[in-house]
Amino acid sequence: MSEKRMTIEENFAKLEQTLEILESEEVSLEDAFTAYTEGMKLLKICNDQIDKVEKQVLKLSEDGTLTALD
Amino acid sequence: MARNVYTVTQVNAYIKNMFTQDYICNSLFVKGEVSNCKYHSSGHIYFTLKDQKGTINCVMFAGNRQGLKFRMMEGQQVIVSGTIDVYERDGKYQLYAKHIVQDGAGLLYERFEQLKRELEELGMFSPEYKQPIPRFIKTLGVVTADTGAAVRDIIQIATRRNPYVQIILYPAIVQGDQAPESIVNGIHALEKLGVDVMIVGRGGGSMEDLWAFNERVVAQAVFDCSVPIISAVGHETDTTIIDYVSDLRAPTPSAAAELAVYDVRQLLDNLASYKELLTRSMVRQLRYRQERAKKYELQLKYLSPANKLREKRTFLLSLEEQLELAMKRQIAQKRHEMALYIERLKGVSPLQKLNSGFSYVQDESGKNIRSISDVEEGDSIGIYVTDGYIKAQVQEIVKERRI
Repeated sequence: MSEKRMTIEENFAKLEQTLEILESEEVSLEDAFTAYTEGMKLLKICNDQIDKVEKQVLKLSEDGTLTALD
Repeated sequence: MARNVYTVTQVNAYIKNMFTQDYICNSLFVKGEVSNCKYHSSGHIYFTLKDQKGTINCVMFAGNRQGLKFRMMEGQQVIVSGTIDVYERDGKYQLYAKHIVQDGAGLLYERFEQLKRELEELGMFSPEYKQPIPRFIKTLGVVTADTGAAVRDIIQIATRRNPYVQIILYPAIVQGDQAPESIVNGIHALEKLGVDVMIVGRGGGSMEDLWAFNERVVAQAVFDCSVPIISAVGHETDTTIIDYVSDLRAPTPSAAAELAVYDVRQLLDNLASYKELLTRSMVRQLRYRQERAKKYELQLKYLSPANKLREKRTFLLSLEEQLELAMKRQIAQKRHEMALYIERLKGVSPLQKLNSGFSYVQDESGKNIRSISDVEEGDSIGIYVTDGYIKAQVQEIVKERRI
């Protein structure tokens, strides 16, 4: 099974964890860098998840076809 | 065979008990036409319900008067809900009314209550069946009429909050005989299409207008739907069966859109603040290490051999200085001593004597001539005076006796 696509909520939860790591005093510099890179990656994923294309309202007809609502 | 003989009271009590234990008699709806209606001064209302074939005596006690929202009059078609019980004094049974509604609306009300109770007993309203509404959705399905305020409100609010959410509208018939089927079809179609959340509803109207949302088939479709459904029927005060069955009840279609669609600006703000926090934490991590490195650097410098060397060198320099100073002191001391010697020497110098007019005489070999016996006539002698040297020849030697 390939890696499951994470929802934004899950990504947020991971971000919180990442921040916790980064905020701790004992973390090693390597781990801090890993966490930081991971956090930035998660942010990008979250941003990508909000597919920033304005959507037109679609209308679903009885036969299952989708048409733009005027 | 001996038979038991009962008193009237016993019989009435027995029959009353039968009524009391009967499931239907304890709670039922009876419809009929009002006759012999009397509002008693005590607040109780006495009346008779009748249809083509029979009559039944009814009473509504003053304590239940809030269950009657209109002035009851002869000839009205009503639905009375209450219990049937025996009035032992008269040996008569009668209907004790709790709610009285006019038929028509009353009929719907009855059906509503009945279905509500049934579905509730089936557990269809149970919280454990409620699916959570996902916070961040990409597609929103809407089952409602494609004209009217409801769809307009939903689209407007959803788009305002997040223009990136895809809205898919199933234009359903929301009123009339075809409505239940149409709504059910819409729910199924959008479920098949795979939307993230569905809003099912319509704008306000009379109880009859909203009736489709009280139908069992619609309730069942909402209950069975694997996609979370937000119900949004009519206004805040209207409650329909699907409001109980749905995963979330919104008071109005506008509110449903707000519940279904997250505010993208807020999310982007959140992301931005996450980014800032991440960076700030990372910078702090780096700075923390820089500070530590700086501290170690300082410590190291302090302990470094170069430092020791410098220390030694400084020490050496100071030794050198001390040495020099001591030496200088020594020299000065010697000089001083020498000066003393010079003074003392001066005291004994023959030159002093020359200054006082004496001379120093020596022979050619440099020997001091102290007696006449040291020289013979014709010898060359040297005479030292205070400002020089006189070379002379002995001309005559005269011996003198010293007194």
